[in-house]
Amino acid sequence: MSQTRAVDLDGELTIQTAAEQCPRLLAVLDKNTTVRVGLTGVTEMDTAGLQILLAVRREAERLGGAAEFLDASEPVREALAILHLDAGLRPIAGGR
Amino acid sequence: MAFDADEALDIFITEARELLESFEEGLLQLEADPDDAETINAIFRSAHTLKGSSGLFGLNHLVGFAHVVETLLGHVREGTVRVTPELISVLLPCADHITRFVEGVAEGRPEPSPGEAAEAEALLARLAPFEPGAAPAAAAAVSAASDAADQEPDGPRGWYLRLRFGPDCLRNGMDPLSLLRYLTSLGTIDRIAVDDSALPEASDLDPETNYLAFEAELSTEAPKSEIESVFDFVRDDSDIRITPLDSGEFVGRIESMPDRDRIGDVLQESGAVTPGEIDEALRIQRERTRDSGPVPIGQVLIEEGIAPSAVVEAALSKQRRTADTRSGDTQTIRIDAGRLDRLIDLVGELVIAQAGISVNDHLSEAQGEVTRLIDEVRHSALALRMVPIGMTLRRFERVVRDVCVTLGKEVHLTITGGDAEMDKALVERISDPLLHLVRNSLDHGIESPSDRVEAGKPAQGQLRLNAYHDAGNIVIEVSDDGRGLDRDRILAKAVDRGLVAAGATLTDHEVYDLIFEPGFSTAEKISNLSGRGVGMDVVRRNVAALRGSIEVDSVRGQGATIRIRLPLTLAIIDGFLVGVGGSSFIVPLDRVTECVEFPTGNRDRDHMNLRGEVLPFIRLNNLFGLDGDVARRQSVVVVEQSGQRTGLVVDALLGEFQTVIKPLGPLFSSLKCVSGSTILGNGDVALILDVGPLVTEYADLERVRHAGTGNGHPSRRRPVLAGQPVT
Repeated sequence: MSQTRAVDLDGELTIQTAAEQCPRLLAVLDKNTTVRVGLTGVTEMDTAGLQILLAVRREAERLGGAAEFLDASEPVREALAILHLDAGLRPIAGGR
Repeated sequence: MAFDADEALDIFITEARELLESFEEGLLQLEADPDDAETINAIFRSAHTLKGSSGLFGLNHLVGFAHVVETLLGHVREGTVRVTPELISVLLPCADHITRFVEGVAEGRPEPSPGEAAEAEALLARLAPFEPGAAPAAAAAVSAASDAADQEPDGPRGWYLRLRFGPDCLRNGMDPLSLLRYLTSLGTIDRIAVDDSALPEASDLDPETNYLAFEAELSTEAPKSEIESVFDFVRDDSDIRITPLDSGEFVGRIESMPDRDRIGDVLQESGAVTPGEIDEALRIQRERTRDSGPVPIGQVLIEEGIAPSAVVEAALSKQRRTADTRSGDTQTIRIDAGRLDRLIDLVGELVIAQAGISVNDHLSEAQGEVTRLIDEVRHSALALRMVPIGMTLRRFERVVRDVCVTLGKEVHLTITGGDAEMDKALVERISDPLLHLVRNSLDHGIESPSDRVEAGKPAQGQLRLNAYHDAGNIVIEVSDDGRGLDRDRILAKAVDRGLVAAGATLTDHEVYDLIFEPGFSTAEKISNLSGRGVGMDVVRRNVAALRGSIEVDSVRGQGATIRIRLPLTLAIIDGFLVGVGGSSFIVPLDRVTECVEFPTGNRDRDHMNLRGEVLPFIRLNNLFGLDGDVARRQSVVVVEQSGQRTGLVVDALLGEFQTVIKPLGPLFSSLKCVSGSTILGNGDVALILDVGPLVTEYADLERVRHAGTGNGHPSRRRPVLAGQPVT
């Protein structure tokens, strides 16, 4: 049950790259699998990127697994900070 | 307590305007005749009333200012300060200042502007030299009051943002995240939540479509329009809502705003809503109106989350208030009563002319219609003058509350009969006497809570204002459950003052009537509520001037009821036309209870048997000295006055008649039993009988007659009418 897979993202995670990044990430997901998404190589993230990460996590959970986001790069941290989300994309205290 | 402050304030403003008018008029009159004591009294009372009623509304500036003026006028009244042209020329600008301030209050500005405060100080400084002793304390109070009006500076404000970006915004190069980033440069995002509930399942996900929405709380000093401009480029396909977190501030701002007609303008000016949002709300309103009927814009604003309901409510009530103020200017017109009378007079002529036609012509259908229309016109013309008394009575709720606070008493006010309508002029002129009676009851009638408990009564006193119609009169009662009138003390005081001979026996009513004598007060200490010499005598004079009467009922220790009875003073009445000899008379129809045949074989008596009761009657032909043959079959018109029934013996019953009251000339002003005359359809004149005096005068005469020789001759009853009968 506790299968773990890791995937690292590189470069932009934006509307420019969403069309290719998204299927690639979703493809990694599988039943009862925890996917570790390494964000250290992400150079830029926008709403499209964030949306992909949220979609991945939800899909992973729907499949009975989980998605973990690791080693957020500075641009990712900055984006998450605006939204009061922690590095794991969970709301920092006070949010939803 | 159900108290409509707006309504009461409007009344105050109307009243203040009138008071100021008479104040100014009085000053000008005084300039021409500096020793006219009556005018001095009048302007003193104006200032006194103005001060009193502005105190009710917490208009401290006005209270302080009017107090100085009033005190000075008090000195003038006592003769310690002389009326000089210099004094008048200082007092006139004082009146102007008060007028300006009252107009400010009417526009919703209860505190003076800095300019007004300065003006007040300058005026008070000019008044000071006229004072016998300097009294600058009030001036200081005035300037202190004006300081509070300063605006507080704008600090950071909390905004709630609901951001639902359109699905295409990412494709269009609009990144919500960057907009949020920009938002942080305007202020601080205190909270934010990402709403991903619209995110579809992975299989349906289009990574280039935006599914996210955000909710955020932003605190910033920037105005709403600036926050809004952040989202300018996404506005078209997004749903952006920015509402203030704390609507209280906007509510406050809206309330202190000058009047506006349109709710949109109000909201926009308050900063709670931007012009763009108004446009959008209007668009939504149009759409919804097309789809499902009219929707108020306020509802759209609330439902669309554009503005919080509290702010919209405030704006709506502002708009309503504006409309009310406006209606005071345009929708209702204050008409010179004389013009109204002229109109009613003309309608009356019409009624007469029409009555003439119906006498001469055959009744056609059209004629019937004209009759109906004229009747309607008559009714609506009369209705113009009639207003419910309730508004005037409700004003006293505040009076009672404030007086209770001042006196440390607990009193509950009950108002009944507020629907009773009466002539507007009467309402206005009765409100001052009523105010005095209410204060009097509170001050002297109702005891302090501790005294009440000691007397075995509930600590809370009861004050009742009641109005009702009674036989063509309106009756207004002021009753309390206080200590009642002290018969012995009133009598002692009256003897003391030489009003009544010592040892005289008086009925209770005669004793109670004494409280209406000038300068008569049994209060041991004069409180600041009554006092100043505006007393019960003024009340009675005012009531008498309205052709009314006033009476007191009192039970020692249980309370007192003061009853004011006023005529409705209708210019047209429904009359009952009777013939006596060759003359015609009108009996007000509302006094007539029935008509019966005059019993035969009864020619010499002055009373008859009406269903087992004694009915005294008055022979009108004797009373008015009408010669001519007495009809073979006479009738008795039974009239009622204050519960007492009396018959009027007449020769012919001619039926109901719409009667236009034509006042009698000044020559006949002393006539008591005739209230006016009217012209009949055939051009004849008929006198209108004033039933009240007719019955009481006659009863008095009868008493005199019986007390005298006991064999009265009909001719002795004639002095009632001094003069030849008018035919």
